[in-house]
Amino acid sequence: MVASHPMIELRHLHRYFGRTRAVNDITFTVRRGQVFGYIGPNGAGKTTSMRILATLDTPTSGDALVDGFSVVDDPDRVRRRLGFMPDYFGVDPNVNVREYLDFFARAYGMRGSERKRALSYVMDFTQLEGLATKPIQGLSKGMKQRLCLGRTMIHDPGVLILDEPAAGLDPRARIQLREMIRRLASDGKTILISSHILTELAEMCDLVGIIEQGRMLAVGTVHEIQHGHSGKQRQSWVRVRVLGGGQALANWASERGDVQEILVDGENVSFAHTGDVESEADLLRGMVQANFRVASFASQTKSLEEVFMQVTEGLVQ
Amino acid sequence: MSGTELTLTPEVVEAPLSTAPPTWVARFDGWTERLGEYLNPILVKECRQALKSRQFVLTFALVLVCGWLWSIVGIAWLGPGVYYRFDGPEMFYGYYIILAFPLIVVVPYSAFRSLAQEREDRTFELVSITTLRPRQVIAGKLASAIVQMLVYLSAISPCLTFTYMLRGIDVMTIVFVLLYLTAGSIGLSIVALFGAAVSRERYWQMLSSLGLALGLFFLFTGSCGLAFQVLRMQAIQVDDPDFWMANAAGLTAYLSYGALLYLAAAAQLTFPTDNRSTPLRVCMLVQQLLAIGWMGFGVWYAEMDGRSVPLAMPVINLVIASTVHWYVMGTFLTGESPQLSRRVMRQLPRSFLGRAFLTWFNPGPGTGYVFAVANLCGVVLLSYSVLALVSTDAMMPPFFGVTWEDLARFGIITVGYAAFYLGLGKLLFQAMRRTSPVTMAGALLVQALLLLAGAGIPLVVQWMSDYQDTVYSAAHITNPIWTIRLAVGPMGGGALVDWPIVWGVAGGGLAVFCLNLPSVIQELRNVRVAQPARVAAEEAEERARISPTVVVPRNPWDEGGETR
Repeated sequence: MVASHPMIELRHLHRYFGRTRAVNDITFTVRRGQVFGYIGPNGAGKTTSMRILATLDTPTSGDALVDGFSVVDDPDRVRRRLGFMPDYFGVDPNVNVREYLDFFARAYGMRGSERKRALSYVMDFTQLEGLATKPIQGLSKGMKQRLCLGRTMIHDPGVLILDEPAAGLDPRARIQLREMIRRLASDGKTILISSHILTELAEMCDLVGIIEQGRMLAVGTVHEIQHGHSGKQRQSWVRVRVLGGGQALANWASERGDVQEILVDGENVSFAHTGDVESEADLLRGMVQANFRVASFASQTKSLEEVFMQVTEGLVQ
Repeated sequence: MSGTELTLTPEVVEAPLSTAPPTWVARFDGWTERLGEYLNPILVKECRQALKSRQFVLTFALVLVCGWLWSIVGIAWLGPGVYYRFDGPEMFYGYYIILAFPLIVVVPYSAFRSLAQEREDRTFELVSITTLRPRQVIAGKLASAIVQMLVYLSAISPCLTFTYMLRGIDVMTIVFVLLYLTAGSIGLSIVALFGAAVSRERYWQMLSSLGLALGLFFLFTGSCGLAFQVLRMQAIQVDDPDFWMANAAGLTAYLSYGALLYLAAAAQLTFPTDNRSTPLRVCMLVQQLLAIGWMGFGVWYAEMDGRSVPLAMPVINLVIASTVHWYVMGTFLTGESPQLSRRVMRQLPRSFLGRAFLTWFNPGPGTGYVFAVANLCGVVLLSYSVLALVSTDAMMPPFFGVTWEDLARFGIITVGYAAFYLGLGKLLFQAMRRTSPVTMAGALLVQALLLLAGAGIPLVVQWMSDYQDTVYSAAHITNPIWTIRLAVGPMGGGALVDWPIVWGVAGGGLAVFCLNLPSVIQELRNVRVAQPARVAAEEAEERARISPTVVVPRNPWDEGGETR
C-alpha cells in the first residue's frame, strides 16, 4: 500500500539557541522514493534540522514528521523508520567492523537469522566483507563512511538522512558512495542528503532546498531551481559555430528579442537566450532557414553552484 | 517501513550441512549462541570492548599477580605457624584488599567512564536513535560492570578458598563479606552511571569524574577498615535473628534506592517529551511504603520479643528520614517543567478514580509538590497509626520521655516546613521560568540557598546583636533543623518548642500551599488528548495482526477496554 502522506515533512520548524535562530520557519515535504538535496553554507541550519528529524534534538516550535509520525510526539516510531548518518563518525574502541554492525542490528531488535541476513546484505552492499574483522579505528575515511552508511541502513529504514556523507572523501570513494546512494534511491528509499558538492547533488536529487541563516530560500526540482528560482524566465548561454564568419549571425540574432549579450570571436558566436527548450529549437531552425552554415550549437543553463550563489547573494558571509 | 528486500548471499544460503552428529561442545556453543540472542545488546558490545581493553587486561593481571604475591608473602610471614594457628582471617584480609580495589574503585569508575566517554565521543547519539530504551542502556552498562566483577571474583576465589583451609574463618563470613563487597560494587556502579547520565556538559563530567574517583578511593579505604572490624569482631552471626533482620532491612533500602537511581539515570537519557517523572514517583511511593512496613514490623517484632525499647524512636527516626527524603525528592519534582508534552497528555488518566488518584503521578511541579507533601503527611499519619496499634498500654505512657503531644507537635512541624520550603521554591522556579529555563541542578541550588537563608539569617542577626546568646527563640521559626530537633527534645527528652511556634510553622506551610494552589489546579485541568490518526491507524493494524477479537482493559482505572 502506498502511503498518501509525505515520508518527510517539516512544518514551520523553528529551533533557537538563545538568540540565535538556527532554524527559522522551514517548511518542505519529500515524498516516498524522492531524493532531497539540502544545500547551504556552514552554519545555515542544515545539521540542526537534520538532527531534529533524527530525534536527536527537539524543535522550539513547529514539527517534523517522518512517515506521518511526529518526531516530537512519537520518536520511537520515527526511529524504526529512519536511518541517520551524521557528519561525524563516533569510534568505538576495540570493536571490529562486523561487531560494530552486529551491535546496531541487535540494538534495532534483530535476532537470529534476520540479523545474520541483514549483516550479510549490508556488508555486501557497502563492500565491507573483506574488512569484517578489521578494527574500526584502523579504517580509512572512505571505509568509515561506508561503514557508517551500513549502520544507517542495517534496520532497512524507509527514510535515510545523510549529513555530508561525501565530506573529506577522495574522488574514488566519493564516486563509490554516490553509486550506493543511487542504488538506495532506486530501491525506493526516501533520502535527505546534505552536501557541499553541488554538482553531485544536482545529479542525484529529485528535489533541492537552499537554506541560509536558518531560512529556506528556495525549494523545488533541480530544473526549477536552476531556471525559475525567482520567477524569472529560463535563461541559457548558447554557443554557435558558423562556418564563414559569425558577424552576420550576430547581426541576425540581434534583431530577435530573446537574445542578449552577443559576443563574436571569428566563427564562434555566444549569446544569452531567454526561453525554454522549444524556443531554443526554433532559434536553431531559424538560423538554418536563414542559410547560416551552423557547424555546432550548444546550450548551457546555469549550474547549481551559480544558482546557489545567486540565491544566497548578500546573505552568505 | 520501506520494503527493500534483504537478499541472502550465496554463503548464507548454501551453508554446508554436516551429517555428523554434533559434539557436546558444538551443542553447548549453539545453546550459548541462542542465549546470546536474548542478551542486552549493550552488554554484548561492552563485554566485547571491555574484555579486549588495556585497562581490563592490566587490572586482571594485577589482581592475579597481587593474589599470587600475597599467597607467597603471607605464608612466608606466617611461617610454620600456618600448620597449627588460626591464620585464615589475616590471609583473607589481604585478599580482600586485593579484590576490593578493582571492585570498589575500578569497576564503578569504568562504568562511569563508559557512559561519559560515549557522550564525549558522540557514539551515544548513535545508540540513542536505535530502538533501545534508556533503561536497557543503563541495564546493559550495569550488567557489563557485573560481568567484570565476576571475572575479578573468579580470579581471586581460589585464594579465598585457601584461607578457609587455614582455619579461623568460617564459610559464612567469607560468603557474606564477598556478598557485601559485590553488592557495594554494584551499588556504586549504579551511582556512577547516574553521575555520568546527569553530567552532560564537559566541565560537569570532569568535576564529577574527579569527585567520583576521590569518593571511590575514600570508600575503598573505609571498606578496608570495615572489613577489618568485621573479621576481628566476627560480626557475621548467622544464628542471630537480628542479623537476618538487619540484613533484610538493609537489602530493602539498598534495592529501593538502587531502583530509584537506576530509574533516575534512565530518565536522564529519556527523550525530552517522554514521561520521565511517573516511574520515579511510583518508585518513591513504594520505597516509602517499604520503610513504613519495616518500621511497623520492627516495632511489632521488638514488642513480641519482649524487649524494652523506646517505641517512639523508630517512628521519630523514620519521620526525620522521610522529611529529608521527601524534601530532596520534592526539590527535583518541583523543578520539573509545567508544560506537558502531547505525548504525555495522551496517557493522562480519564476516569474519575484515575484522575483522583493517579493525577499526582503525572509530571509537573504542581502535582510534584502535592505528591511530596502528601506523602510526608501520609508517612506521619501511617507511622503514628502503626505506633498506636502495636504499642501496649504498659509501654504507652512515657515512650521513654516522648508523649503523644510531642509527637503531634513534631508531625505538624515536619509537614509544615516541607510545605513551606518546597512551596516557596516552587513559586521561585515559577518566576524564574519567565526569563530562563530551570534545570534540575538549578532547582537543587535554589532550594539549598533557601534553606540556608531560612536557617542562617536569624542566626546571623542574633549573633550581630548578642553573639553569646544562642538560645532558641521565635525568631528562629524559619530554621527547620533547629526547630525539628527541639520539637522531639534532646534524645526524646520532651519537646522544647511551644505551640505558638508549631502553629506558626503550620500556618506558614498552609499559606504557601494555598499560594501554590492556582498553579496546581492549572495542572489538574490537563486532560487526555486523542492519539494522532497515524498512530491510531498503526496501532489498529498491530492489534489486528495480534488478535482481532479479544477485549482487554488497559488498566483498572481506565473506562473502556481495547479490542486486541
